[in-house]
Amino acid sequence: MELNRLSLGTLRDMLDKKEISSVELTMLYIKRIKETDGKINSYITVCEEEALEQAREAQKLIDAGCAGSLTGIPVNIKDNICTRNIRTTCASKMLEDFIPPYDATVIRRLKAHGAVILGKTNMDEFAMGNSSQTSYFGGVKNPYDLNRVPGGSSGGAAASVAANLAPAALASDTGGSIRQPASFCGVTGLKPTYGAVSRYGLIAFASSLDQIGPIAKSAEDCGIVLDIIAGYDPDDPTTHKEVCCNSCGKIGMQLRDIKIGIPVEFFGEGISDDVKTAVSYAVKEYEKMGCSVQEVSLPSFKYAIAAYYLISSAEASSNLARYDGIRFGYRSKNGETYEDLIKNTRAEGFGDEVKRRILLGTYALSSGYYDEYYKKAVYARGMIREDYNEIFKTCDCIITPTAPTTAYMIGEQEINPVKMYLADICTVTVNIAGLPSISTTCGYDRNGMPVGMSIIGRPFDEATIIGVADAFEKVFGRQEVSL
Amino acid sequence: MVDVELVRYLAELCRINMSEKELKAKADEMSDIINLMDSIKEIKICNNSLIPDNSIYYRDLEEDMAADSLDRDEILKNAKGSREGYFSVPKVV
Amino acid sequence: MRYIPVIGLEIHAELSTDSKVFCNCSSEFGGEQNTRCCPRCSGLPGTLPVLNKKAMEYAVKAGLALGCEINMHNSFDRKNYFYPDLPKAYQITQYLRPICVSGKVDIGGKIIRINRIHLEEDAGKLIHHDSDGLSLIDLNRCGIPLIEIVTEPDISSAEEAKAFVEAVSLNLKYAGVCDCRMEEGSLRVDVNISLMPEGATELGTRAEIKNLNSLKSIARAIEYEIYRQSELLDNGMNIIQETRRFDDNSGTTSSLRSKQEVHDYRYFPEPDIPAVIFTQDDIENIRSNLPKMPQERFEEYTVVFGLPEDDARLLISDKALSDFYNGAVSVYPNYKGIANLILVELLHLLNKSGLSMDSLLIPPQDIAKLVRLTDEGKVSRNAAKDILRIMFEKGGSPDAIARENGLLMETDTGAVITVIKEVLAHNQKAVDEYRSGKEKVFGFLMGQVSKKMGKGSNPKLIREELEKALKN
Repeated sequence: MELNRLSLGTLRDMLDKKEISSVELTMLYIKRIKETDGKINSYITVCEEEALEQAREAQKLIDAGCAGSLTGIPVNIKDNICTRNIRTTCASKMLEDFIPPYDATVIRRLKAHGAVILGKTNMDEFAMGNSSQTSYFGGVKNPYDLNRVPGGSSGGAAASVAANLAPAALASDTGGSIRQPASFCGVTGLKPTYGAVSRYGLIAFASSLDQIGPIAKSAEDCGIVLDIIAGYDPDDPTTHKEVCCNSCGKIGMQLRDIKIGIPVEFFGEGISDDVKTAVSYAVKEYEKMGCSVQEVSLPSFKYAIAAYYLISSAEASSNLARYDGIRFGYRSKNGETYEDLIKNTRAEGFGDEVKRRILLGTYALSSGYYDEYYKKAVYARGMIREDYNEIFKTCDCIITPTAPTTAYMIGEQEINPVKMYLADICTVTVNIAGLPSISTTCGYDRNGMPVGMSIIGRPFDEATIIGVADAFEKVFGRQEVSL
Repeated sequence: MVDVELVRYLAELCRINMSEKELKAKADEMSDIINLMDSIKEIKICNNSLIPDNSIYYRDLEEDMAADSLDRDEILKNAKGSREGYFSVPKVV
Repeated sequence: MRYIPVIGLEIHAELSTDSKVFCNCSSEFGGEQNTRCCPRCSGLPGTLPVLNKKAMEYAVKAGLALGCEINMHNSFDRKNYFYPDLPKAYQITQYLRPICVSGKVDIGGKIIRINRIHLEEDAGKLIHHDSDGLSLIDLNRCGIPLIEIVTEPDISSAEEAKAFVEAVSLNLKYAGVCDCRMEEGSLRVDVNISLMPEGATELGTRAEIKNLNSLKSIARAIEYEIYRQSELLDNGMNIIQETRRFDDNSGTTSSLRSKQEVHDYRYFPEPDIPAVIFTQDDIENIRSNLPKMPQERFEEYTVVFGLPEDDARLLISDKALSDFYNGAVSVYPNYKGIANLILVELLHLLNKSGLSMDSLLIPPQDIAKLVRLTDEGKVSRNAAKDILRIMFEKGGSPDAIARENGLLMETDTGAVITVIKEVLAHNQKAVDEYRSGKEKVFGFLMGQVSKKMGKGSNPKLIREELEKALKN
């Protein structure tokens, strides 16, 4: 059976028509994971037993005729989302054997719906990074070219979907961690509006920026997953009561009414030619389809990287302070006193990039630097939001490249922090402004590596960006991976 | 320029042990990173209403309701050190 | 050299909500260690705080009770530091925009200003196990809602500090937000004290004193500190800004070894909790749910009811007592009479039995009835005491008890005259003594008549008739 072309809709059909059972489908994926994942290392934990049990339970719902869109369908979960009694590591030595006693809200919703959880996917440690090479469990490889990075921090999720090791994945995005790996791996990834999806159970990196979102083969599939996980959650007061569901409601809509904004700042020097070409091609396609396109500007763009890194690192330095080996997680063997023990635990349990971010965040918040750095970063955030508000007065959505480049060779870039941080330039403003954004493949570079474009929408207008992305996907010929 | 002493202070503040070598390496990296961050300093804060503020009305807050706590075993199960139902740590000086 | 003590207090009060401030674990006192915890309050990864509405409500009530302005738009911040009893390694508190500001408390002639009141979460408990060099952590109390009340340095003596803490406790108890039991830790007081040389304009360096478990310790600690700091200053030495611990046994303070002299708490706005917005209606609703506060009642009792200040103070010292009094006088407005009965007789009964107002069998209306019976001359004052005792022990209405026990005062003149005639007949000697000028004997004769008449003695009637009888 060719897992390649299987959309969630198709799988739903097959299951409902009894062409395949949920257990058979789950076994197919598990088999493929066992055969293939060694090449890309996209899974940290495979939950074979639990998945088959869930599949059996889901089959009962299917047989009774009350299956929902994802009932009986396998998905995987980025390993920073808590799954009860299944270890959740954040790809860190610090949480190597952490077994959460509770499920994240999104997991509860998936389980209640009857979805099947195949396993936990690999990522950059504590979601900090854009290459998925900082994992304690070994780096992830791009299925399109095993010598290249899959992007990050949700590299495992994106790579597994691209390599057909799961039809859909849940991942998280703080500064581009869903969209950039989706673009590097030639799949579709959606970061919802901040507050659309509950963060309860998402191991926090940057509280005001983190969001959980889907990665799948298409915008429509992303919408299907989103509808199940999104919505107000009393366990997360930062979620909103008015949230738009029916994310696929605008698929097939009339594109003539859509006004697309192209912000000049996103097409500057740092963006590679291949990327510019591919995105421009996509924009032209939209024009052919009837959209109106206009040039717009995001004047505060120049503060984006600084604002993002200062805010996210500050919040991270506080969120990660709880990792001290006392109540859970790794505990150092060295330390006669409490102070020594926690300092050694944190020295041994955290990787380099995590330490870097914690230091940066501590710096930004410490007295003497707070006013000049953190406070101004928060203000810049307001400026960036205002800039987007302006643009949305005349545009329904915005199109930008997802990343300045395509997937680069492993070992080529990750060692230079500044270079790595600058590579986030296309994605971070979206998190800063709390907007929804979807990345879909719009071309391939001279080496055959996918190029992603991002479509950014108004708050809680996931339906429009899904509709717009879908319109392009329907006319664009994706090249599947041959793994 | 971020010097070793500053990094030493920060490492102490965030409780991560670092060797002299590591402190030096981090100081170099941090200098580059702070350079990148410095663009933010040119911002002048003039309009306080621009500072984003998530808010909620008092009436929409969650009611005061005691519910069952988690079993002590579950609370302690991930701890590497526990004693008679307590979490244990080496002595606090 | 004369020094003026400059004292400010930081009071932490546990709010008596049902659940913790950011999760649904029960806030009930006690319980085996770590049995009142959940992923949230034990700081497990991935958890988020959810603000308890009642904690906010109680914080507002506390602010209103202490004369504060409410910050209609208030928010939370993280205070970051490492300590084993703080699972998240940050405490969620209010730094920039606390819920209350600018309050005041009258401690009898002097106003002590309150700088702010803010809501925050408590930490867990750390127990030291010296034998094997371990410290043990119990997170049951981690996440209990606290309000921190910070005063301006307006307090100038140990007495004032005590009076202030007493006034705050009383107000918080009236507001129903905290039971203010220092011995149980639901009220904790830290003292900041410095000395200012007389005539100086700059404040001196202050020391912070912790571990004060009672009003008495607060007073003793302050007195010791005044002495300690004066000695140092007199000898030309500097006061070190530090935290000191009070030792109950020796009555002295000693420096707490501090690892970090200056804490950089890196406060920043709590991203997981939205800022809370109150409307004017919200505040008025909360205000309307507050009972009349002690100060207001004191004024009513003294100015309107005409009670002496000491009596008024005693009545308001316990809300249940004051409520009881109010209940009685609302039925029968003999303010002084009812106050007397309660403060003298009822309190005596309560103290003797060790019971509190909670377990009182007597409804306030019945006290009112009893006083009315006395006023109407239906029972004597002595009989009233007996009736009260019976009511206290068994309950029952005063009329019924008086009737059943023969305590209704005799109003039949004839019966009195008869008894008097008998008594005079038996006590000729006394009668002669009285008639010969020994007026004190009257008391003896009255006593004889009363004894013979028993519980229904009507002293007024007896006196009248006896006088008449002796004149003849």
